[in-house]
Amino acid sequence: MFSYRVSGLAVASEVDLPGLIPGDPDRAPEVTIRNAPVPFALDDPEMVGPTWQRAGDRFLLRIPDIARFLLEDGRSIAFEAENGADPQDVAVFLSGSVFGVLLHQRNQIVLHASAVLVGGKAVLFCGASGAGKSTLAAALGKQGYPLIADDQCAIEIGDDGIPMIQADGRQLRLWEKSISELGLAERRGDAMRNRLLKFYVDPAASSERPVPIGAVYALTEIRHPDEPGIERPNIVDATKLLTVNAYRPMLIHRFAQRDVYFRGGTTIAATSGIFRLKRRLGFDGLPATIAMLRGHWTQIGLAEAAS
Amino acid sequence: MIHRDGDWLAAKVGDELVMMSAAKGNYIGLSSVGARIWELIETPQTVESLCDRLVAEYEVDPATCRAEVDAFLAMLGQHNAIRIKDAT
Repeated sequence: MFSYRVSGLAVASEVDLPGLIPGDPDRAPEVTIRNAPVPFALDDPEMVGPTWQRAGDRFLLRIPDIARFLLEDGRSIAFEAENGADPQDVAVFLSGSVFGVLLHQRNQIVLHASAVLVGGKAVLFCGASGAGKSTLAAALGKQGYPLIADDQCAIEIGDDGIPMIQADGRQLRLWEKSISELGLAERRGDAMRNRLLKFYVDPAASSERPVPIGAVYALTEIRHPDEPGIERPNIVDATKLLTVNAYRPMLIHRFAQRDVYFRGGTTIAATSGIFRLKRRLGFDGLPATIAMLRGHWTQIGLAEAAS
Repeated sequence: MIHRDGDWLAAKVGDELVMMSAAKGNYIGLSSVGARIWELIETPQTVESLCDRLVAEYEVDPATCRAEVDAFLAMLGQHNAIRIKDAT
C-alpha cells in the first residue's frame, strides 16, 4: 500500500500515484484506492450523464480508453483500466479529476482554483479552464509567492468560522490536460510525461497545515476599451461566484450541496473577501496584473506597503 | 399580516444579508435596513406595526418609511419570500 495526503485526507492506495504528497502510513486511511472490477453501469441509477451515473452513495465515472472509476460514500475509489490504457495515465486521473469528484461526494467545498501564499494566507484564483489561473499562479511563484494548490482547492470552514484551504502539492492539471490533448502515440512516450512531471510537481511548496484564506479572485477577461481593475461584487454575486467556480458545478446539484456552497460563499465574502480580477488575457499583461494585485494586497492588509 | 414564506437560507455579510432559496437556488441581497426588516418579520405582523418599529429605530418620517416598506415587501413578494394575509 502507498500512503498519501490529499486535501488533508489520509489516502491508502494499491497503486503508486506520482506527484501526490506522501502520507503517514500509520494513520488510518480516510480514503482507499484499489484496483478492482468496475461495471459499465450501476443498478437502478437515479441520475445518468454522458460519462457518469449516480445511485445513492455510489458514483460511477468513465473516462473512455483510460478507466472506469467507482466512488463509494466518499471513502473508497475502485478503478478498472480500460484495455491498453497506460497505468500512469490512470494514476493522473485518479489523483486529479476523480479525487475532485470524491471531494464533492464528501460534501466538501472544492473550487476550480489555483492558490499562492501571500503574507501567510492563501490567495485563490478561480476561473474556468483556460481562464489563466495556472499561468498567473506560476508567474506569482516566480516572484516569490509559493504555489500551494493548483486546479483544485478544498475549502473548509474552521470551528472559529475562518475559511481555510488544505494545501496540496498536486500540480497535475497541465499533465492531465496534455494526456487528453496529445495523440495516443505521443501519450505512450514517457519523455513528455516525465518532463511535465518534473516541471510541475513541486511538493516542497506544500504545507502540512490548512492555510487561512486571505482573498479569492474570480478571473475575468476584458477587451478594449474596458480597463483592468479589481472590484468587489455585491454580496449576491460574490456568493454566486463560489458556486460558479466549484470544481464541477453540476455536482453541486447532483450531490445536493447548494446549502454548503451558500454557507461557504457567504463566510468567505464576510471574512476574506471575494473579488473580481478584470484583466486582459495573455502573457504581456502579466506584469501589470501582478503589480495591480500587489497594490490590492496592501490595501486589504495581506501585505505591507513596498518600501 | 406579513409572514415569511418559503425555505430560505440567510447569512450576514457585514451588515447586509444574502438569502438563497433552498428549493430553487435563487438569491436575494438585502441592505442593512432590509436585513432588519427580515429579522422583524420573523414574528408575523402588520405593515403598520413594522413601520412603527422602523420609524422608532431609524431617522425616517412615517410617510417615506411606509412607501419604502411597501416597495420592499412587494419585492420580497415577487421572490415568494413573504405572504401577506389579511388580519382577522
